[in-house]
Amino acid sequence: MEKIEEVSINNSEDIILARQIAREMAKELGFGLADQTRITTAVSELSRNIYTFAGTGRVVVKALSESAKKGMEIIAEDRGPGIPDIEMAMQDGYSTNKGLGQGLPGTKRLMDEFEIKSEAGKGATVTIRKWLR
Amino acid sequence: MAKKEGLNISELLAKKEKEILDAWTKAQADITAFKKGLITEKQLREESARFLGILVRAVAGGNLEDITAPEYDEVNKFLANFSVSRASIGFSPSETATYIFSLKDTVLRFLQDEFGDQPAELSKAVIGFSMLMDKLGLITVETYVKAREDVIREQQKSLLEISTPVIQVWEEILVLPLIGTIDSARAKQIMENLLESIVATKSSIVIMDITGVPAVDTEVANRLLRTMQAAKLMGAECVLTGISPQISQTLVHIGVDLSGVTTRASLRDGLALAFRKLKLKVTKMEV
Repeated sequence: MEKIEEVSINNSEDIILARQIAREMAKELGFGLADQTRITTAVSELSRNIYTFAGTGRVVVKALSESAKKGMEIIAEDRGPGIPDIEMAMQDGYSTNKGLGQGLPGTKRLMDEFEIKSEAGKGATVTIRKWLR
Repeated sequence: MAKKEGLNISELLAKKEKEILDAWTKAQADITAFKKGLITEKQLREESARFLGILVRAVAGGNLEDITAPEYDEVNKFLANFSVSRASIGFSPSETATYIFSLKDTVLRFLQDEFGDQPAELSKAVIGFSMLMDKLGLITVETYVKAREDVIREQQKSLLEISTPVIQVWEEILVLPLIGTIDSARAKQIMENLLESIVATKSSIVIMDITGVPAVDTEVANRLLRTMQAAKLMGAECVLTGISPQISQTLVHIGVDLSGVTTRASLRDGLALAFRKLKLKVTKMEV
């Protein structure tokens, strides 16, 4: 079963769309209510980052199945200004827009796997995974 | 050269207007919306006759390229009204655009008959006319989508208005039941409504209930915190209620610090707390 959905993020309504799609898929894959909420919130954070910092980008939601493991992967990518200092961005309480500064570190804590790639001026790609157990 | 081919097409359109109309109406008889009975054949024919007349006048000067030119004003106006009315009676965008594209097919067939013996002229005329009709087709789709978007925007606006009520449940106690997504426009409205209500009702306790908020990410949490801060500055104490077990776990994981905020699991508990703070007691009546 290969399931992939893609949402392009262009306005704040797309954030809602992205997280609804993520929640639906999490539900279908059999994630419990708590994990559904974690995944939804993580997708919300990432797509909001795209909208706030890059303006446009896309979120890809994928069902994963590796041998015995099943799970979900979400890739959020944009071609925005990029993250100049990833280490800083991953620190709790660090924010460049008067936010709470918990978005990225919080998302990492919500998920099982978290990868971030960014180059200044070339955008950012965040890949997160959650496994079903 | 361009002038000549333009003239050819406009002459053809004017000369064969009646036959084109017949063929076009026939071509449209197959579309599904027509079969569904959304429009009668008579209506369709009248509408088509009107549009063809307008189009013949527009191309009469030989301009097939610039549809923003004044001679196309009528065409554009007609198509705008047409798309909006089609959208409102339930035509799909492709059914709406098919109207123009079926005219294109029909006219191309007439062009073929007319200029079949002059291939060079024919291909020029075909390209010119196709481009014109494609542009007009796109206008129908664009206006159709715009009409839909207007409806959606209207609905959003009315939703925004009904979704942020502030209710005074008792002397000095306000309840703010939050439902749905809290975006920046909503957050601003919530804050304004709340602060005004605090003054108007002289309230000292505000219960913010988020039972109906499906996801609380850091942005939403930040907005809630700011609203509560503002209320505090006005002398009202805030109680946050309706935090589901899932949202509570998520907030802890993500690291949102709500330690400075009074919270309760349910609106009921929040109300009980408010009563206690105001030294009110709810008792059963003795009968």
